[in-house]
Amino acid sequence: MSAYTVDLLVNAGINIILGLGFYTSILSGQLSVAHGALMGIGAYTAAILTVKLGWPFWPAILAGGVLAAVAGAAIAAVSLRLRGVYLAVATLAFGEALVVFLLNNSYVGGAAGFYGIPLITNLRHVALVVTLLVLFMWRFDSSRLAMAYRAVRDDEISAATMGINVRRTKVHAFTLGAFIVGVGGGLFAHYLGILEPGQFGYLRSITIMMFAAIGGVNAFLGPVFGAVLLTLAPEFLRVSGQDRYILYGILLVLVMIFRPNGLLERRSGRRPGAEKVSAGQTVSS
Amino acid sequence: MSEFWLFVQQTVNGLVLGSAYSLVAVGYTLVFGVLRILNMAHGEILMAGGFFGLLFATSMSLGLVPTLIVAALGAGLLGVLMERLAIRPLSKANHLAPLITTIGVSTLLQSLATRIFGPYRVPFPPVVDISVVNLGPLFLTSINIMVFVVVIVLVIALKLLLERTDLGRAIRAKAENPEVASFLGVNVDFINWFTVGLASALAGVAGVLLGLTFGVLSPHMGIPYGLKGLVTLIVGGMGSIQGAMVAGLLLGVTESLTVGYISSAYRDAVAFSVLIAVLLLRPSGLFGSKVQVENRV
Repeated sequence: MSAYTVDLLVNAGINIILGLGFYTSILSGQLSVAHGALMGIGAYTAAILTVKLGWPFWPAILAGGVLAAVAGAAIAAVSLRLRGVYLAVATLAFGEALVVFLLNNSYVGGAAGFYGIPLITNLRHVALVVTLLVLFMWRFDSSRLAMAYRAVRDDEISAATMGINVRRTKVHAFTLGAFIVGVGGGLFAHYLGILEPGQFGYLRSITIMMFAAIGGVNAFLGPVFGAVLLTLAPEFLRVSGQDRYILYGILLVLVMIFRPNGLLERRSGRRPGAEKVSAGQTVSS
Repeated sequence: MSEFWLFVQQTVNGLVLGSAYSLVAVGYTLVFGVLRILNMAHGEILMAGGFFGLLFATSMSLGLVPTLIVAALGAGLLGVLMERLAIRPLSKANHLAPLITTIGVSTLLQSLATRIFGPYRVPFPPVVDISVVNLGPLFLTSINIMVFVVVIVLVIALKLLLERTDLGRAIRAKAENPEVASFLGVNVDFINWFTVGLASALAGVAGVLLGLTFGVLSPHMGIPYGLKGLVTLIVGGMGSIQGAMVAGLLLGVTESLTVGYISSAYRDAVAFSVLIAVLLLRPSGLFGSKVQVENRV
Protein backbone atom coordinates (compact mmCIF):
# COMPACT_ATOMS: atom_id res chain seq x y z
CA MET A 1 0.00 0.00 0.00
CA SER A 2 1.23 3.46 -0.77
CA ALA A 3 1.84 5.91 2.04
CA TYR A 4 -1.09 7.93 0.74
CA THR A 5 -3.51 5.00 1.03
CA VAL A 6 -2.25 4.18 4.52
CA ASP A 7 -2.71 7.77 5.62
CA LEU A 8 -6.23 7.81 4.24
CA LEU A 9 -7.13 4.55 5.98
CA VAL A 10 -5.67 5.66 9.32
CA ASN A 11 -7.66 8.89 9.13
CA ALA A 12 -10.81 7.02 8.19
CA GLY A 13 -10.25 4.59 11.08
CA ILE A 14 -9.73 7.36 13.64
CA ASN A 15 -12.82 9.12 12.31
CA ILE A 16 -14.86 5.92 12.66
CA ILE A 17 -13.80 5.73 16.32
CA LEU A 18 -14.78 9.37 16.87
CA GLY A 19 -18.10 8.91 15.09
CA LEU A 20 -18.97 5.89 17.23
CA GLY A 21 -18.08 7.89 20.36
CA PHE A 22 -20.67 10.45 19.32
CA TYR A 23 -23.15 7.71 18.49
CA THR A 24 -23.66 6.38 22.04
CA SER A 25 -24.48 9.82 23.42
CA ILE A 26 -26.86 10.76 20.62
CA LEU A 27 -28.50 7.31 20.89
CA SER A 28 -29.63 8.27 24.38
CA GLY A 29 -30.91 11.60 23.03
CA GLN A 30 -28.01 13.73 24.25
CA LEU A 31 -26.69 16.13 21.63
CA SER A 32 -23.08 16.76 22.61
CA VAL A 33 -20.85 19.52 21.30
CA ALA A 34 -18.12 18.55 23.77
CA HIS A 35 -16.84 15.50 21.92
CA GLY A 36 -14.00 17.45 20.31
CA ALA A 37 -12.84 18.47 23.79
CA LEU A 38 -13.25 14.94 25.17
CA MET A 39 -11.12 13.69 22.30
CA GLY A 40 -8.61 16.40 23.27
CA ILE A 41 -8.54 15.14 26.86
CA GLY A 42 -7.73 11.65 25.58
CA ALA A 43 -5.10 12.99 23.18
CA TYR A 44 -3.33 15.22 25.73
CA THR A 45 -3.48 12.60 28.49
CA ALA A 46 -1.99 9.88 26.32
CA ALA A 47 0.67 12.25 25.00
CA ILE A 48 1.67 13.42 28.51
CA LEU A 49 1.93 9.82 29.66
CA THR A 50 4.18 8.67 26.82
CA VAL A 51 6.27 11.83 26.47
CA LYS A 52 6.68 13.07 30.04
CA LEU A 53 6.15 9.93 32.13
CA GLY A 54 7.55 7.31 29.76
CA TRP A 55 4.48 5.06 29.73
CA PRO A 56 4.18 2.42 27.01
CA PHE A 57 1.76 3.05 24.13
CA TRP A 58 -1.33 0.95 24.92
CA PRO A 59 -1.63 1.78 28.63
CA ALA A 60 -1.31 5.48 27.73
CA ILE A 61 -4.06 5.21 25.11
CA LEU A 62 -6.35 3.41 27.58
CA ALA A 63 -5.61 5.93 30.32
CA GLY A 64 -6.53 8.71 27.87
CA GLY A 65 -9.84 6.99 27.27
CA VAL A 66 -10.45 6.59 31.00
CA LEU A 67 -9.72 10.23 31.80
CA ALA A 68 -11.98 11.36 28.94
CA ALA A 69 -14.66 9.05 30.36
CA VAL A 70 -14.31 10.63 33.81
CA ALA A 71 -14.64 14.10 32.27
CA GLY A 72 -17.61 12.91 30.20
CA ALA A 73 -19.32 11.47 33.27
CA ALA A 74 -18.80 14.76 35.11
CA ILE A 75 -20.24 16.81 32.23
CA ALA A 76 -23.22 14.48 31.89
CA ALA A 77 -23.88 14.41 35.63
CA VAL A 78 -23.94 18.19 36.03
CA SER A 79 -26.00 18.70 32.86
CA LEU A 80 -28.71 16.16 33.67
CA ARG A 81 -31.38 18.84 33.89
CA LEU A 82 -30.65 20.10 30.41
CA ARG A 83 -32.06 18.79 27.18
CA GLY A 84 -31.79 19.30 23.44
CA VAL A 85 -30.48 22.68 22.46
CA TYR A 86 -29.66 23.66 26.07
CA LEU A 87 -27.53 20.56 26.54
CA ALA A 88 -25.81 21.25 23.21
CA VAL A 89 -24.88 24.78 24.28
CA ALA A 90 -23.76 23.68 27.77
CA THR A 91 -21.50 20.99 26.33
CA LEU A 92 -20.19 23.52 23.85
CA ALA A 93 -19.27 25.79 26.76
CA PHE A 94 -17.43 22.97 28.53
CA GLY A 95 -15.51 22.28 25.33
CA GLU A 96 -14.52 25.89 24.76
CA ALA A 97 -13.53 26.33 28.41
CA LEU A 98 -11.20 23.34 28.06
CA VAL A 99 -9.60 24.86 24.96
CA VAL A 100 -8.93 28.11 26.85
CA PHE A 101 -7.44 26.09 29.73
CA LEU A 102 -5.11 24.20 27.36
CA LEU A 103 -4.13 27.43 25.60
CA ASN A 104 -2.93 28.85 28.91
CA ASN A 105 -1.27 25.73 30.27
CA SER A 106 2.47 25.87 29.68
CA TYR A 107 3.01 22.26 30.86
CA VAL A 108 1.45 21.03 27.61
CA GLY A 109 2.92 23.78 25.44
CA GLY A 110 -0.01 26.21 25.61
CA ALA A 111 -0.94 27.97 22.40
CA ALA A 112 2.34 26.97 20.72
CA GLY A 113 1.28 23.33 20.84
CA PHE A 114 2.54 20.07 22.31
CA TYR A 115 5.46 18.85 20.19
CA GLY A 116 7.62 15.76 20.06
CA ILE A 117 4.98 13.09 20.60
CA PRO A 118 6.42 9.79 19.31
CA LEU A 119 4.82 8.66 16.06
CA ILE A 120 3.71 5.23 17.19
CA THR A 121 0.18 4.83 15.82
CA ASN A 122 0.12 2.84 12.60
CA LEU A 123 -2.55 1.28 10.47
CA ARG A 124 -2.48 -2.00 12.43
CA HIS A 125 -3.18 -0.24 15.74
CA VAL A 126 -6.08 1.69 14.26
CA ALA A 127 -7.46 -1.39 12.51
CA LEU A 128 -7.29 -3.35 15.76
CA VAL A 129 -9.20 -0.71 17.72
CA VAL A 130 -11.78 -0.24 14.95
CA THR A 131 -12.34 -4.00 14.72
CA LEU A 132 -12.78 -4.37 18.47
CA LEU A 133 -15.08 -1.38 18.58
CA VAL A 134 -17.21 -2.56 15.66
CA LEU A 135 -17.55 -6.02 17.24
CA PHE A 136 -18.53 -4.40 20.52
CA MET A 137 -21.06 -2.13 18.79
CA TRP A 138 -22.48 -5.08 16.87
CA ARG A 139 -23.35 -6.77 20.15
CA PHE A 140 -24.21 -3.54 21.90
CA ASP A 141 -26.64 -2.23 19.28
CA SER A 142 -29.18 -4.98 19.93
CA SER A 143 -28.52 -5.23 23.68
CA ARG A 144 -30.95 -4.27 26.40
CA LEU A 145 -28.67 -1.38 27.26
CA ALA A 146 -28.93 0.14 23.78
CA MET A 147 -32.70 -0.33 23.93
CA ALA A 148 -32.71 1.58 27.20
CA TYR A 149 -30.72 4.38 25.50
CA ARG A 150 -33.28 4.55 22.70
CA ALA A 151 -36.17 4.47 25.15
CA VAL A 152 -34.69 7.42 27.05
CA ARG A 153 -34.19 9.28 23.78
CA ASP A 154 -37.75 8.72 22.59
CA ASP A 155 -39.61 9.45 25.81
CA GLU A 156 -37.94 9.91 29.17
CA ILE A 157 -41.14 9.63 31.17
CA SER A 158 -42.27 6.39 29.54
CA ALA A 159 -38.75 5.00 29.90
CA ALA A 160 -38.81 5.80 33.62
CA THR A 161 -42.22 4.14 33.94
CA MET A 162 -40.79 0.99 32.41
CA GLY A 163 -38.20 0.86 35.17
CA ILE A 164 -35.27 2.43 33.36
CA ASN A 165 -33.08 4.64 35.50
CA VAL A 166 -33.05 7.65 33.18
CA ARG A 167 -30.32 9.59 34.94
CA ARG A 168 -27.97 6.63 35.16
CA THR A 169 -28.63 5.70 31.53
CA LYS A 170 -27.82 9.22 30.35
CA VAL A 171 -24.58 9.44 32.34
CA HIS A 172 -23.66 5.93 31.20
CA ALA A 173 -24.21 6.75 27.52
CA PHE A 174 -22.18 9.93 27.71
CA THR A 175 -19.36 8.24 29.64
CA LEU A 176 -19.13 5.38 27.15
CA GLY A 177 -19.00 7.81 24.23
CA ALA A 178 -16.35 9.90 26.00
CA PHE A 179 -14.19 6.82 26.57
CA ILE A 180 -14.38 5.93 22.87
CA VAL A 181 -13.47 9.41 21.60
CA GLY A 182 -10.73 9.57 24.28
CA VAL A 183 -9.13 6.43 22.84
CA GLY A 184 -9.52 7.94 19.36
CA GLY A 185 -7.78 11.09 20.63
CA GLY A 186 -4.83 9.09 21.98
CA LEU A 187 -4.37 7.33 18.64
CA PHE A 188 -4.67 10.67 16.87
CA ALA A 189 -1.98 12.25 19.08
CA HIS A 190 0.51 9.48 18.37
CA TYR A 191 -0.23 9.60 14.67
CA LEU A 192 0.15 13.34 14.19
CA GLY A 193 2.97 13.96 16.68
CA ILE A 194 1.77 17.52 17.42
CA LEU A 195 -1.23 18.70 19.43
CA GLU A 196 -2.68 22.20 19.44
CA PRO A 197 -5.61 23.23 21.66
CA GLY A 198 -7.48 24.70 18.69
CA GLN A 199 -7.76 21.24 17.14
CA PHE A 200 -10.23 20.22 19.84
CA GLY A 201 -12.68 23.10 19.83
CA TYR A 202 -16.10 23.69 18.37
CA LEU A 203 -15.10 22.75 14.82
CA ARG A 204 -13.83 19.32 15.83
CA SER A 205 -17.05 18.61 17.72
CA ILE A 206 -19.07 19.66 14.69
CA THR A 207 -17.00 17.46 12.40
CA ILE A 208 -17.59 14.48 14.69
CA MET A 209 -21.30 15.28 14.76
CA MET A 210 -21.33 15.37 10.95
CA PHE A 211 -20.16 11.75 10.71
CA ALA A 212 -23.23 10.62 12.59
CA ALA A 213 -25.64 13.11 11.03
CA ILE A 214 -24.66 12.19 7.47
CA GLY A 215 -24.56 8.44 8.08
CA GLY A 216 -27.50 8.09 10.44
CA VAL A 217 -27.96 8.04 14.20
CA ASN A 218 -30.19 5.05 14.80
CA ALA A 219 -27.75 2.20 14.11
CA PHE A 220 -24.02 2.00 14.65
CA LEU A 221 -23.26 1.50 10.95
CA GLY A 222 -24.51 5.05 10.32
CA PRO A 223 -21.58 6.88 11.92
CA VAL A 224 -19.15 4.30 10.48
CA PHE A 225 -20.47 4.95 7.00
CA GLY A 226 -20.54 8.73 7.56
CA ALA A 227 -16.94 8.79 8.82
CA VAL A 228 -15.66 6.77 5.86
CA LEU A 229 -17.66 8.83 3.38
CA LEU A 230 -16.55 12.20 4.75
CA THR A 231 -12.91 11.07 4.87
CA LEU A 232 -12.81 9.57 1.40
CA ALA A 233 -15.24 11.70 -0.63
CA PRO A 234 -13.03 14.83 -0.76
CA GLU A 235 -10.11 12.68 -1.91
CA PHE A 236 -12.05 11.06 -4.73
CA LEU A 237 -13.58 14.34 -5.79
CA ARG A 238 -10.08 15.81 -5.95
CA VAL A 239 -10.84 18.81 -3.84
CA SER A 240 -8.52 19.94 -1.12
CA GLY A 241 -8.00 22.49 1.61
CA GLN A 242 -10.67 25.14 1.88
CA ASP A 243 -12.72 23.75 -1.01
CA ARG A 244 -13.29 20.58 0.99
CA TYR A 245 -15.33 22.61 3.46
CA ILE A 246 -17.41 24.17 0.70
CA LEU A 247 -18.27 20.62 -0.33
CA TYR A 248 -19.00 19.61 3.29
CA GLY A 249 -21.38 22.51 3.67
CA ILE A 250 -23.36 21.74 0.53
CA LEU A 251 -23.35 18.01 1.30
CA LEU A 252 -24.71 18.57 4.80
CA VAL A 253 -27.61 20.68 3.57
CA LEU A 254 -28.52 18.27 0.76
CA VAL A 255 -28.32 15.13 2.89
CA MET A 256 -30.48 16.69 5.60
CA ILE A 257 -33.11 17.81 3.09
CA PHE A 258 -33.41 14.46 1.31
CA ARG A 259 -32.52 12.06 4.14
CA PRO A 260 -33.07 13.98 7.40
CA ASN A 261 -32.23 10.90 9.48
CA GLY A 262 -29.01 10.14 7.62
CA LEU A 263 -28.09 8.23 4.50
CA LEU A 264 -28.39 4.79 6.07
CA GLU A 265 -31.81 5.24 7.67
CA ARG A 266 -34.60 3.24 6.10
CA ARG A 267 -37.44 5.46 7.26
CA SER A 268 -37.40 9.05 6.20
CA GLY A 269 -39.10 11.81 8.14
CA ARG A 270 -39.95 11.56 11.80
CA ARG A 271 -39.46 8.64 14.09
CA PRO A 272 -42.83 7.45 15.38
CA GLY A 273 -41.70 8.23 18.92
CA ALA A 274 -40.68 11.77 18.09
CA GLU A 275 -44.12 12.41 16.60
CA LYS A 276 -45.80 11.51 19.83
CA VAL A 277 -43.48 13.64 21.95
CA SER A 278 -43.97 16.74 19.84
CA ALA A 279 -47.74 16.34 19.89
CA GLY A 280 -47.59 16.28 23.69
CA GLN A 281 -45.44 19.39 23.67
CA THR A 282 -47.92 21.33 21.58
CA VAL A 283 -50.66 20.58 24.05
CA SER A 284 -48.67 21.48 27.15
CA SER A 285 -46.94 24.64 25.94
CA MET B 1 -5.97 57.99 36.45
CA SER B 2 -7.32 56.81 39.78
CA GLU B 3 -8.33 53.23 40.50
CA PHE B 4 -11.99 54.18 40.45
CA TRP B 5 -11.93 55.87 37.05
CA LEU B 6 -9.98 52.98 35.60
CA PHE B 7 -12.79 50.71 36.76
CA VAL B 8 -15.41 53.00 35.22
CA GLN B 9 -13.46 53.16 31.97
CA GLN B 10 -13.28 49.35 31.78
CA THR B 11 -16.99 49.12 32.49
CA VAL B 12 -17.80 51.60 29.73
CA ASN B 13 -15.61 49.71 27.25
CA GLY B 14 -17.41 46.55 28.28
CA LEU B 15 -20.82 48.14 27.70
CA VAL B 16 -19.83 49.09 24.15
CA LEU B 17 -18.57 45.60 23.31
CA GLY B 18 -21.53 44.06 25.13
CA SER B 19 -24.01 46.06 23.08
CA ALA B 20 -22.64 44.34 19.96
CA TYR B 21 -23.08 40.94 21.68
CA SER B 22 -26.65 41.94 22.48
CA LEU B 23 -27.42 42.67 18.86
CA VAL B 24 -26.11 39.23 17.87
CA ALA B 25 -28.09 37.52 20.63
CA VAL B 26 -31.32 39.35 19.73
CA GLY B 27 -31.09 37.73 16.28
CA TYR B 28 -30.66 34.27 17.80
CA THR B 29 -33.58 34.91 20.13
CA LEU B 30 -35.89 36.01 17.30
CA VAL B 31 -35.14 32.93 15.22
CA PHE B 32 -35.33 30.56 18.17
CA GLY B 33 -38.54 32.10 19.47
CA VAL B 34 -40.35 31.97 16.15
CA LEU B 35 -38.91 28.94 14.34
CA ARG B 36 -37.74 26.91 17.37
CA ILE B 37 -34.37 26.30 15.81
CA LEU B 38 -30.89 27.32 16.79
CA ASN B 39 -29.39 29.08 13.81
CA MET B 40 -25.76 27.99 13.86
CA ALA B 41 -25.01 30.11 10.78
CA HIS B 42 -25.85 33.36 12.59
CA GLY B 43 -22.19 34.18 13.26
CA GLU B 44 -21.25 33.61 9.62
CA ILE B 45 -24.12 35.80 8.45
CA LEU B 46 -22.70 38.50 10.73
CA MET B 47 -19.31 38.02 9.08
CA ALA B 48 -20.88 38.15 5.60
CA GLY B 49 -22.76 41.35 6.53
CA GLY B 50 -19.48 42.89 7.63
CA PHE B 51 -17.90 42.03 4.28
CA PHE B 52 -20.90 43.38 2.31
CA GLY B 53 -20.43 46.63 4.21
CA LEU B 54 -16.69 46.57 3.55
CA LEU B 55 -17.10 45.98 -0.20
CA PHE B 56 -19.56 48.81 -0.67
CA ALA B 57 -17.83 51.18 1.72
CA THR B 58 -14.52 50.82 -0.17
CA SER B 59 -15.84 50.74 -3.73
CA MET B 60 -18.40 53.54 -3.37
CA SER B 61 -16.95 55.33 -0.34
CA LEU B 62 -20.29 55.34 1.41
CA GLY B 63 -20.91 56.95 4.76
CA LEU B 64 -21.93 55.16 7.93
CA VAL B 65 -25.68 54.90 7.46
CA PRO B 66 -25.59 53.70 3.82
CA THR B 67 -22.92 51.14 4.79
CA LEU B 68 -25.11 49.82 7.57
CA ILE B 69 -28.11 49.63 5.24
CA VAL B 70 -26.14 47.76 2.57
CA ALA B 71 -24.82 45.31 5.18
CA ALA B 72 -28.31 44.78 6.61
CA LEU B 73 -29.82 44.20 3.16
CA GLY B 74 -27.05 41.83 2.07
CA ALA B 75 -27.12 39.80 5.27
CA GLY B 76 -30.93 39.85 5.35
CA LEU B 77 -31.09 38.50 1.81
CA LEU B 78 -28.64 35.76 2.77
CA GLY B 79 -30.84 34.88 5.73
CA VAL B 80 -33.97 34.69 3.57
CA LEU B 81 -32.14 32.45 1.08
CA MET B 82 -30.96 30.22 3.90
CA GLU B 83 -34.50 29.93 5.30
CA ARG B 84 -35.85 29.01 1.88
CA LEU B 85 -33.15 26.49 0.94
CA ALA B 86 -31.91 25.01 4.20
CA ILE B 87 -34.61 25.48 6.85
CA ARG B 88 -38.06 25.38 5.26
CA PRO B 89 -37.57 22.01 3.49
CA LEU B 90 -36.93 20.51 6.93
CA SER B 91 -40.01 21.72 8.76
CA LYS B 92 -41.20 18.12 9.20
CA ALA B 93 -37.85 16.54 10.06
CA ASN B 94 -36.40 15.82 13.49
CA HIS B 95 -35.06 18.72 15.54
CA LEU B 96 -31.44 17.83 14.83
CA ALA B 97 -31.83 18.33 11.08
CA PRO B 98 -32.16 22.16 10.89
CA LEU B 99 -29.30 22.48 13.39
CA ILE B 100 -27.11 20.47 11.04
CA THR B 101 -28.16 22.31 7.87
CA THR B 102 -27.41 25.67 9.46
CA ILE B 103 -24.00 24.28 10.43
CA GLY B 104 -23.65 23.33 6.77
CA VAL B 105 -24.53 26.88 5.72
CA SER B 106 -22.03 28.31 8.22
CA THR B 107 -19.23 26.07 6.88
CA LEU B 108 -20.15 27.07 3.35
CA LEU B 109 -20.19 30.82 4.05
CA GLN B 110 -16.92 30.71 5.96
CA SER B 111 -15.16 28.76 3.21
CA LEU B 112 -16.52 31.01 0.48
CA ALA B 113 -15.39 34.10 2.37
CA THR B 114 -11.93 32.58 2.82
CA ARG B 115 -11.82 31.89 -0.91
CA ILE B 116 -12.79 35.41 -1.84
CA PHE B 117 -10.97 37.46 0.78
CA GLY B 118 -8.15 35.11 1.80
CA PRO B 119 -7.66 33.58 5.23
CA TYR B 120 -6.16 36.73 6.79
CA ARG B 121 -7.69 39.73 8.42
CA VAL B 122 -8.87 42.50 6.11
CA PRO B 123 -8.75 46.14 7.29
CA PHE B 124 -12.15 47.80 7.54
CA PRO B 125 -12.37 51.30 6.04
CA PRO B 126 -13.13 54.04 8.57
CA VAL B 127 -16.50 55.23 7.32
CA VAL B 128 -16.86 57.75 10.14
CA ASP B 129 -14.41 60.37 11.34
CA ILE B 130 -12.62 58.93 14.28
CA SER B 131 -12.30 61.42 17.05
CA VAL B 132 -11.70 61.00 20.73
CA VAL B 133 -14.33 62.32 23.07
CA ASN B 134 -13.31 63.15 26.63
CA LEU B 135 -15.94 62.90 29.31
CA GLY B 136 -14.09 64.06 32.38
CA PRO B 137 -11.39 61.49 33.01
CA LEU B 138 -13.07 58.97 30.69
CA PHE B 139 -12.29 58.79 27.05
CA LEU B 140 -14.32 57.25 24.27
CA THR B 141 -13.90 57.23 20.52
CA SER B 142 -16.66 58.43 18.24
CA ILE B 143 -16.95 54.83 17.03
CA ASN B 144 -17.65 53.56 20.56
CA ILE B 145 -20.46 56.05 20.99
CA MET B 146 -21.88 55.34 17.57
CA VAL B 147 -21.90 51.55 18.13
CA PHE B 148 -23.78 51.96 21.38
CA VAL B 149 -26.31 54.39 19.88
CA VAL B 150 -26.96 52.24 16.80
CA VAL B 151 -27.58 49.14 18.94
CA ILE B 152 -29.94 50.93 21.32
CA VAL B 153 -31.88 52.49 18.44
CA LEU B 154 -32.22 49.15 16.65
CA VAL B 155 -33.32 47.23 19.74
CA ILE B 156 -35.94 49.87 20.58
CA ALA B 157 -37.14 49.82 16.96
CA LEU B 158 -37.40 46.04 17.13
CA LYS B 159 -39.36 46.17 20.38
CA LEU B 160 -41.77 48.68 18.81
CA LEU B 161 -42.13 46.53 15.69
CA LEU B 162 -42.96 43.46 17.77
CA GLU B 163 -45.31 45.15 20.19
CA ARG B 164 -47.04 47.92 18.28
CA THR B 165 -47.58 46.66 14.73
CA ASP B 166 -49.81 43.99 13.20
CA LEU B 167 -46.74 42.30 11.73
CA GLY B 168 -45.19 42.16 15.19
CA ARG B 169 -48.37 40.69 16.64
CA ALA B 170 -48.35 38.04 13.92
CA ILE B 171 -44.73 37.19 14.69
CA ARG B 172 -45.50 36.87 18.40
CA ALA B 173 -48.59 34.78 17.65
CA LYS B 174 -46.49 32.42 15.52
CA ALA B 175 -43.93 32.20 18.35
CA GLU B 176 -46.65 31.46 20.91
CA ASN B 177 -48.48 28.77 18.96
CA PRO B 178 -47.88 28.16 15.24
CA GLU B 179 -51.04 26.13 14.69
CA VAL B 180 -53.48 28.56 16.26
CA ALA B 181 -51.71 31.45 14.54
CA SER B 182 -52.20 29.84 11.16
CA PHE B 183 -55.91 29.17 11.95
CA LEU B 184 -56.25 32.86 12.64
CA GLY B 185 -54.88 33.77 9.23
CA VAL B 186 -51.20 34.35 9.96
CA ASN B 187 -49.11 33.41 6.93
CA VAL B 188 -46.65 31.17 8.75
CA ASP B 189 -44.23 30.76 5.83
CA PHE B 190 -44.01 34.53 5.43
CA ILE B 191 -43.40 35.03 9.15
CA ASN B 192 -40.63 32.43 9.08
CA TRP B 193 -38.64 33.94 6.26
CA PHE B 194 -39.26 37.47 7.44
CA THR B 195 -38.00 36.61 10.92
CA VAL B 196 -34.83 34.94 9.68
CA GLY B 197 -34.26 37.85 7.29
CA LEU B 198 -34.76 40.40 10.07
CA ALA B 199 -32.46 38.57 12.48
CA SER B 200 -29.84 38.25 9.74
CA ALA B 201 -30.10 41.95 8.90
CA LEU B 202 -29.40 42.79 12.56
CA ALA B 203 -26.41 40.41 12.46
CA GLY B 204 -25.16 42.20 9.32
CA VAL B 205 -25.30 45.54 11.15
CA ALA B 206 -23.42 43.95 14.06
CA GLY B 207 -20.78 42.75 11.59
CA VAL B 208 -20.13 46.31 10.38
CA LEU B 209 -20.14 47.67 13.94
CA LEU B 210 -17.56 45.08 15.04
CA GLY B 211 -15.51 45.76 11.91
CA LEU B 212 -15.47 49.46 12.77
CA THR B 213 -14.69 48.87 16.44
CA PHE B 214 -11.70 46.63 15.81
CA GLY B 215 -10.74 48.02 12.39
CA VAL B 216 -10.57 44.55 10.80
CA LEU B 217 -12.78 41.76 9.50
CA SER B 218 -11.84 38.12 9.08
CA PRO B 219 -13.61 35.17 7.42
CA HIS B 220 -13.23 33.35 10.73
CA MET B 221 -14.80 36.02 12.94
CA GLY B 222 -18.19 34.31 12.71
CA ILE B 223 -17.30 31.56 15.15
CA PRO B 224 -16.20 33.61 18.17
CA TYR B 225 -19.02 36.14 17.80
CA GLY B 226 -21.51 33.41 17.01
CA LEU B 227 -20.50 31.56 20.17
CA LYS B 228 -20.59 34.74 22.27
CA GLY B 229 -24.04 35.49 20.92
CA LEU B 230 -25.13 31.97 21.84
CA VAL B 231 -23.82 32.41 25.38
CA THR B 232 -25.70 35.70 25.61
CA LEU B 233 -28.85 34.03 24.34
CA ILE B 234 -28.79 31.32 26.99
CA VAL B 235 -27.75 33.62 29.84
CA GLY B 236 -30.54 36.04 28.95
CA GLY B 237 -33.13 33.33 28.48
CA MET B 238 -34.23 32.04 25.09
CA GLY B 239 -36.91 34.06 23.41
CA SER B 240 -36.46 37.15 25.58
CA ILE B 241 -35.25 40.35 23.92
CA GLN B 242 -34.71 42.24 27.19
CA GLY B 243 -32.84 39.20 28.44
CA ALA B 244 -30.54 39.19 25.41
CA MET B 245 -29.91 42.93 25.84
CA VAL B 246 -29.07 42.75 29.55
CA ALA B 247 -27.03 39.55 29.22
CA GLY B 248 -25.03 40.99 26.32
CA LEU B 249 -24.11 44.08 28.34
CA LEU B 250 -23.27 41.95 31.39
CA LEU B 251 -21.08 39.66 29.33
CA GLY B 252 -19.27 42.61 27.73
CA VAL B 253 -18.58 44.23 31.12
CA THR B 254 -17.45 40.95 32.69
CA GLU B 255 -15.05 40.32 29.84
CA SER B 256 -13.71 43.84 29.93
CA LEU B 257 -13.12 43.66 33.70
CA THR B 258 -11.42 40.28 33.31
CA VAL B 259 -9.06 41.73 30.73
CA GLY B 260 -8.41 44.76 32.96
CA TYR B 261 -7.91 42.99 36.28
CA ILE B 262 -6.97 39.36 35.59
CA SER B 263 -5.57 38.56 32.17
CA SER B 264 -6.67 38.92 28.58
CA ALA B 265 -5.88 35.21 28.11
CA TYR B 266 -8.88 34.28 30.26
CA ARG B 267 -11.40 36.56 28.52
CA ASP B 268 -13.17 33.74 26.72
CA ALA B 269 -13.00 31.36 29.68
CA VAL B 270 -15.03 33.87 31.70
CA ALA B 271 -17.82 33.96 29.15
CA PHE B 272 -18.09 30.20 29.08
CA SER B 273 -17.79 29.79 32.84
CA VAL B 274 -20.62 32.29 33.33
CA LEU B 275 -22.67 30.28 30.85
CA ILE B 276 -22.04 26.98 32.64
CA ALA B 277 -22.94 28.56 35.99
CA VAL B 278 -26.18 30.03 34.62
CA LEU B 279 -27.18 26.77 32.95
CA LEU B 280 -26.62 24.81 36.13
CA LEU B 281 -28.26 27.24 38.53
CA ARG B 282 -31.02 28.67 36.37
CA PRO B 283 -31.36 26.80 33.06
CA SER B 284 -34.08 29.10 31.83
CA GLY B 285 -31.67 32.05 31.90
CA LEU B 286 -32.07 35.37 33.67
CA PHE B 287 -35.26 36.38 31.89
CA GLY B 288 -36.63 33.14 30.49
CA SER B 289 -39.60 31.25 31.85
CA LYS B 290 -39.26 27.74 33.22
CA VAL B 291 -41.94 26.44 30.87
CA GLN B 292 -39.70 27.13 27.90
CA VAL B 293 -36.95 24.88 29.18
CA GLU B 294 -39.30 22.09 30.07
CA ASN B 295 -41.41 22.01 26.96
CA ARG B 296 -39.92 23.76 24.05
CA VAL B 297 -36.65 22.05 23.40
